Amino acid sequence: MGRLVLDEPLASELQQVAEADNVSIEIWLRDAIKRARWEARRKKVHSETEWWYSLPISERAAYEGQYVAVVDKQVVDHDSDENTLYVRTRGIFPNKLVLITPADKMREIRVTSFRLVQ
Amino acid sequence: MTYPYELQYVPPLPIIPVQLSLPGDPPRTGLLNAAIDTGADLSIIPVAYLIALEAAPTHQALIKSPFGNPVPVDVYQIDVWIEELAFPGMSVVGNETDEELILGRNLLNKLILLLDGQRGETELFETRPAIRR
Repeated sequence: MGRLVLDEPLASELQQVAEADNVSIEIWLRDAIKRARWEARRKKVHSETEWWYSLPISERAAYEGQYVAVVDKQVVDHDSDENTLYVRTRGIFPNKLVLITPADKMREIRVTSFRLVQ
Repeated sequence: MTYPYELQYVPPLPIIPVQLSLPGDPPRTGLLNAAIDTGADLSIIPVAYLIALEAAPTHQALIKSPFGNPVPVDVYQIDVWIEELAFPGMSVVGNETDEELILGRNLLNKLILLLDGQRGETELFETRPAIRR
């Protein structure tokens, strides 16, 4: 890959933000790219989730008690075991983001512990 | 394997050092102290570590506590390592507001642990020890 040449004022701005974080420009850019990728994947999962749970209950009922795998607003697989489905769809769609979610309703996680702030 | 309680907390907090990786990869982080929390259904990891691993969320969920309304969160699948023991494909909640790692029951239920509060140590056993009466 070739070199990337940046014009002013972008080059100075990049140097300033990297210095403020006490890292090199290369590390700052690498971290920024990772965060941008994470944001995009997150958005995609949220949009797939919204699509799945907006489907009529009658349509989702076909997968009752199971997990569904959704890619680009299409159900591509389903299974009663979440991890089995995760491993299988990763093999079929290694470069795609796959939503794996309970078919019936969004999972609820309980956290009953708490911590006192001193 | 024995781990001292974290004394910066009052009362002291049982912790286990863990490492994290994407599924199927070797450990990709340094040792991170994780609190033992039997009150949490799932383990909870600050998103900074998940971003560094380039983990992608697998689904959204709602987290419920006794102190407020359910909050939407993202759930990821990663491998968690305790020394050379690997726990593959663990579901973890990404936490955007706190820096603490929490080991919830989805991982703790795979372990044999002794919380020795009197000594301030957590002991992890590979097989169940003989119980003295």
